[in-house]
Amino acid sequence: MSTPWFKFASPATFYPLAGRTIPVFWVLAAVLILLGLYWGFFETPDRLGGTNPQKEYYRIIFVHVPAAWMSMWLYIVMVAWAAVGLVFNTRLSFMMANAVAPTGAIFTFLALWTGAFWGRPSWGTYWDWDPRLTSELILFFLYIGYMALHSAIDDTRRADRAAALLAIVGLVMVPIIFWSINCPDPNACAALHQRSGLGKIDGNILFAMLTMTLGFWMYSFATTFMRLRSIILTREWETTWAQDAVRSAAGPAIQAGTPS
Amino acid sequence: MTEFFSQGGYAGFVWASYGMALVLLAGEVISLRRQQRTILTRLGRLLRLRDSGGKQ
Repeated sequence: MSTPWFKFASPATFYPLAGRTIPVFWVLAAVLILLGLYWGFFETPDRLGGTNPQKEYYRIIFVHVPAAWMSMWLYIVMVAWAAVGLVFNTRLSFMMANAVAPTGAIFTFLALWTGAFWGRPSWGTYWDWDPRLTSELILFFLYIGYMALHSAIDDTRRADRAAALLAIVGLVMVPIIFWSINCPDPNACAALHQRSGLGKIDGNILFAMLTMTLGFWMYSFATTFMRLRSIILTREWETTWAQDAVRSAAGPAIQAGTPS
Repeated sequence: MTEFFSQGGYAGFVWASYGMALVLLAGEVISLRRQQRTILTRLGRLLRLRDSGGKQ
């Protein structure tokens, strides 16, 4: 327990720390997303030629790919915290996993939704049971399942452990999504997503896409920390420090409401 | 400007994607702020009750 790392594992230390960093992540997210949107809409060609011609609808890429990447990355982050919680039995790790899940689910849904609206003009269909679409849908159900299982168990510690196990088992979906397009013969498997490499993408498109991804990542830090603070307060409100935090946050309101 | 919003005739697809992103992300932030405020109000009320109970 003398390791400084464990100091930050305490909710009492992390609650104010998260509160101080949230505004920084908001500023970073806003700047990156605005820059990414500007670059994506105004500094990129209207049409793409080559073997896979695309018209203006390809601009969905600037929200679709970042959302899809975040959906997988946040799942890995959630599983990592769940695993740390199981191994070290640290409360904050489970709370962190809990805080990541809804944001991950939102990005997964966004990836599916934007994919549908990109698929319609480019593939002629909103949905197909293609390996990547199907595995991403299963990832969405895993996020929902994690949250549902957690809220279904009244004992928080049991809920943490059960949901963590579900999350860890579900991790198998992430590599499946990632490699679901590596089909040796495109005629043999019905993969609609084509094999793509970052090096093949036009520099301006790549820049906008990566900037948006970083923006979504910073956004995820901000929302996760906001949710984490709510979770910490709900779970730790019986401790002295949490009550002090509540008093100082609602200070004026309490004074105003107290009859003098 | 009109040209920008029409996105070469694919406005429906492009704006449905970006619109959903805006709705989801903004909605998440609004709900998180509201949630934190509710928790603080509720716990604040509880503590006030306790504090006044202690004095009596």
